[in-house]
Amino acid sequence: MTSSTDHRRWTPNPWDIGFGVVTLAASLVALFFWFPHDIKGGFVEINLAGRLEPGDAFFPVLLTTTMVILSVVQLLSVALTRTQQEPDTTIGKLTPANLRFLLLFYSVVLAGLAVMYWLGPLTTALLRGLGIIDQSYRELLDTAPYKYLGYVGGGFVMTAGLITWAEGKVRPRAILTVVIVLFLSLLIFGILLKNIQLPPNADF
Amino acid sequence: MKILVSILMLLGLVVSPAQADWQPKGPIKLWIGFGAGGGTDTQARALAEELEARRGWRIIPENKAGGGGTVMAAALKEAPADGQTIGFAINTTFDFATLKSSNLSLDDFTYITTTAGSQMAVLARADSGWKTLDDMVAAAKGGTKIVWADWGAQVEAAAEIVAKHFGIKVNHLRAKGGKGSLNALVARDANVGWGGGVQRGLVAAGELVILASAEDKPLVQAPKTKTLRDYGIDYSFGFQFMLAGPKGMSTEARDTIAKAIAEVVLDPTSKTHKFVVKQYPPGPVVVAGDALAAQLAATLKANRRLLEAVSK
Amino acid sequence: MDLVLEYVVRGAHGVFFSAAGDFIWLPIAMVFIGVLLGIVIGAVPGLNGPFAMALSLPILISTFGVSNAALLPILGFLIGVMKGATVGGAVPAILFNTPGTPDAYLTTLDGYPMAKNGQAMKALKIAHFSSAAGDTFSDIVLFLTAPVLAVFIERILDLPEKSALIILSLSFMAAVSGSSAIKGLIVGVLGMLLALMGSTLSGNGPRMTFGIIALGNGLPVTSAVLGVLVISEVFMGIEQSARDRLSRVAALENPLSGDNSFGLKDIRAIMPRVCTSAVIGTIVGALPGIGTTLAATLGYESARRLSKHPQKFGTGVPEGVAATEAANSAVSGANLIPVLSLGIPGNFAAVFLILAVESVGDFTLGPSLFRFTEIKNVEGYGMIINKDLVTCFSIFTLMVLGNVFNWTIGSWFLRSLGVLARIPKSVMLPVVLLITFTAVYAQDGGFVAIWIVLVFGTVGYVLRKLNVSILPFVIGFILSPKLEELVRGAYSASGGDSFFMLKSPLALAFLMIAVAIMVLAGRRKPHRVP
Repeated sequence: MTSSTDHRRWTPNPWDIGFGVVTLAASLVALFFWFPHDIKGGFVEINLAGRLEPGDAFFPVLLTTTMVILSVVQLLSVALTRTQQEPDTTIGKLTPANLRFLLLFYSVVLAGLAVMYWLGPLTTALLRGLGIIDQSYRELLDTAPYKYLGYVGGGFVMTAGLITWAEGKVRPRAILTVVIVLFLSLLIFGILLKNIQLPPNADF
Repeated sequence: MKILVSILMLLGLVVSPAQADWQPKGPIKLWIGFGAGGGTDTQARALAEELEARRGWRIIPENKAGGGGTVMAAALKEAPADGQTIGFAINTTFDFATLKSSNLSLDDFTYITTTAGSQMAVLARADSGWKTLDDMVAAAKGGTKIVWADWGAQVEAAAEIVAKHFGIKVNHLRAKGGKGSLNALVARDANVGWGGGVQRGLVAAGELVILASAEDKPLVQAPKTKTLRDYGIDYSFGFQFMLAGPKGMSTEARDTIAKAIAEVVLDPTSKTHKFVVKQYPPGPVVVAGDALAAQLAATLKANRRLLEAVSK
Repeated sequence: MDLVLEYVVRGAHGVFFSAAGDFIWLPIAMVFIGVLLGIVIGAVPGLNGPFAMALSLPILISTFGVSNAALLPILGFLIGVMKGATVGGAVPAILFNTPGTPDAYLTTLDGYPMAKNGQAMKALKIAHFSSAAGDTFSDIVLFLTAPVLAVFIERILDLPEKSALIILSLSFMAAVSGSSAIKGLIVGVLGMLLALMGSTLSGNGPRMTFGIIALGNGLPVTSAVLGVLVISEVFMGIEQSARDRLSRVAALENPLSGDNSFGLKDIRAIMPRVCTSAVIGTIVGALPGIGTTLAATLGYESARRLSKHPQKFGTGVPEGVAATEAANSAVSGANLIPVLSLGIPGNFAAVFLILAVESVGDFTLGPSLFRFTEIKNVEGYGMIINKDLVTCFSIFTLMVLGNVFNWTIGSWFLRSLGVLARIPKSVMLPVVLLITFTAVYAQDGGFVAIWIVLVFGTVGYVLRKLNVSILPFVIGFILSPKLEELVRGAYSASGGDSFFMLKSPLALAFLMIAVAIMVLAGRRKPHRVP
């Protein structure tokens, strides 16, 4: 603890400033780089009927300009709130622990999704290489068991992985739950609903 | 009208006489360029079901809505041209939207067949007393406020072109779908409206009258009523439902699929046929293969002219 | 009046009979299952009604399709879940002192002490009675006010005023939810901006898609909303279980040792509190964005102030449970007032009802809903009728059914659920993640949907961590395309006048109120949102 004057000194919350800076920067980038490259229509246009009307860029530009103004207001409000006596506890923040969590979470989920995407095609390629079948995955994506491979494999890796990580141990009952859930969703999405495609079959 | 259908079919078949033994090696994905639940979707799904039943092909319908079919077309362009991914949209997806698009062109696709066509009409309530477009124009010049019901930017522009031609002013009312525009007309929210085909019952019941045909020919229900071209407006605003595949599909695949579709659509007992007859009278329009490609190329040219005329 | 009655009758008829006139079980059964599922979901700590609605929507659409015939079964189920969950939320609060939702925290104040005193069953019965009563009251208010309000709005408001009113509602929502009004507004605008990706009204081809073909029709709404709402919750939950690795809740030893009867005498005792709370909840619910927590707080506080023995609150008094449950349940019906009369969702449950309506059939929400068009039959064409209005009365019928089920089987079902409240989050959440992925993939046909869910989940997670409310983000996302259409229409109609919105006195007033709200909210002492 430092002296009392030090305590009353203006100490803005970096997350409060950061929020404003990030949104300000993002909206400026959108306004000057993103939109010019990615919106074909203008701010106002003459339509087929020969009338002036707001173009495709009209509303995006309007909204982004609003965001610029609001971001500036956000920054100003932080700067002007100098009399703050105690640290404002309502401002949240992202801790390094949160980022570590995100990284791990994404690793598990992406591993699961990779299995989901590749398991079927790789298996068929392998079987084809061995001469057991002569079709590609695209030709087999409505044939059991190939069409279920990726979903079941990837779904299992992802869910069982997340549960095990969250619980810190492998629990047979949890694994059994995963198997039952996978079986049920296969039944609903794969068998009862005829024209619904399970991942990854719509992508091939 | 049966003669018309058979002539068109003949045209399609004459152009593509060779029917090789093409068979899909796996399921065929049928991408529908419009949202689930609409008229296009209903037609495409009925077609898929009956193709499956008749040919034993597995057909998986999937909606890829947006941009008047262009979102589907953009994805279709990238799909393998093995006949196992085909798209269902309307002709303007290929011969109008491609004009303004930077990533789509008419040459990006293999054109399979059309299934049905619109009966695009300018409509008014029978109690308006108007019989032709001239009557409506005269009323407008006499001070009647014209409110024209439509369902999208393209048809709204069409209404504006008609208004410009006659030198009258119209207000537009945007309704939901073809049926919505008719309901607005009947409910007196509008006094003129576009109809793409659903107007059949109301015209037959004497509630509505057809003021003009916006097709190239007079409409089935009003064979004596003039077309917009007869009035000196050098455009037609009708549209057709059609299927296409990615560029480079083999002719055998294209023709086998086209033939299978024609069989379903032209069979009076099929669900698809019944739907088409009800929604888009007088009945199926089947133009396939090279004939379809030539037709689209011609319309594309006309549409380019239309855009130039408007921007002038 | 005859016309109104005919619409009401046709609406009710539509729930029980098919177009061909045969009796149909489906919508009734869907409401029934929905109520049961809602009670179950509400009773599981960490899950809530909107969560279950979010997950069931894609599954329902896959099952029933998107034709007009699918609308009533799907809405019936969602309404059932919404209603069941408001009742079920009291279970974990009373039995385990673990509120499933923020508003249920206030139920724990007196509910858990009651359970500790051996009156768990009585507390549950009181919670059920008050909750069902509050909900029913709120529905009746909805049935009576929404049509009147809608007709009024349709008469008075033109395009500029409607645009201004949406802006006003958005700023109100930004101001009342979350820790900071400006940040709320910023994320609200961000949500609006993202919703503009893809489709254009002009026919110039897709915009703001980074060249990704699959985004040509815009970000799929369900994937985006599921991501922000549900998946961010999954992120938070898994993080928490991975950190704590303890989710055991101690069960009470003797939950039924005390007086567990619940009769007329008890009803008479709690009725005044239930009534006050129902009114409070209904008023709060009718204003977009405030939500159940404030309603529950106000309900509880008012009950304590009006009580003869305020010092006893917190020790297990029935009035405490009754006041909270009546208030938070009364929000759900009234929340549909802005939905039906304006098409503006006020909370997450309403968001999913709107999503369902937009994906299924051709039913349109908003003021024109209540146009009593003359009914006329044309041979060979069909009926000329405001179908939407008929559907609306069918929806009201479904809500009444939901209430009937809540009253009749709800109480019994509620009391048998103690067991469920102990399913560990660590299993539940990964399963929810998998089902979400499957459902959005099935609906949107591709991995793009899964990436969108993940990206929006991360956005939601970051916003939650930064203590910024995600409600304005979601509502902005949903309303933006509509607002763009209104603004463009109004601009064109004004003949290209850039200040069209300032020329209408009413629109100007709406905008000034919006600014005033923001200024006031900016000055307000920030408070922490649970």
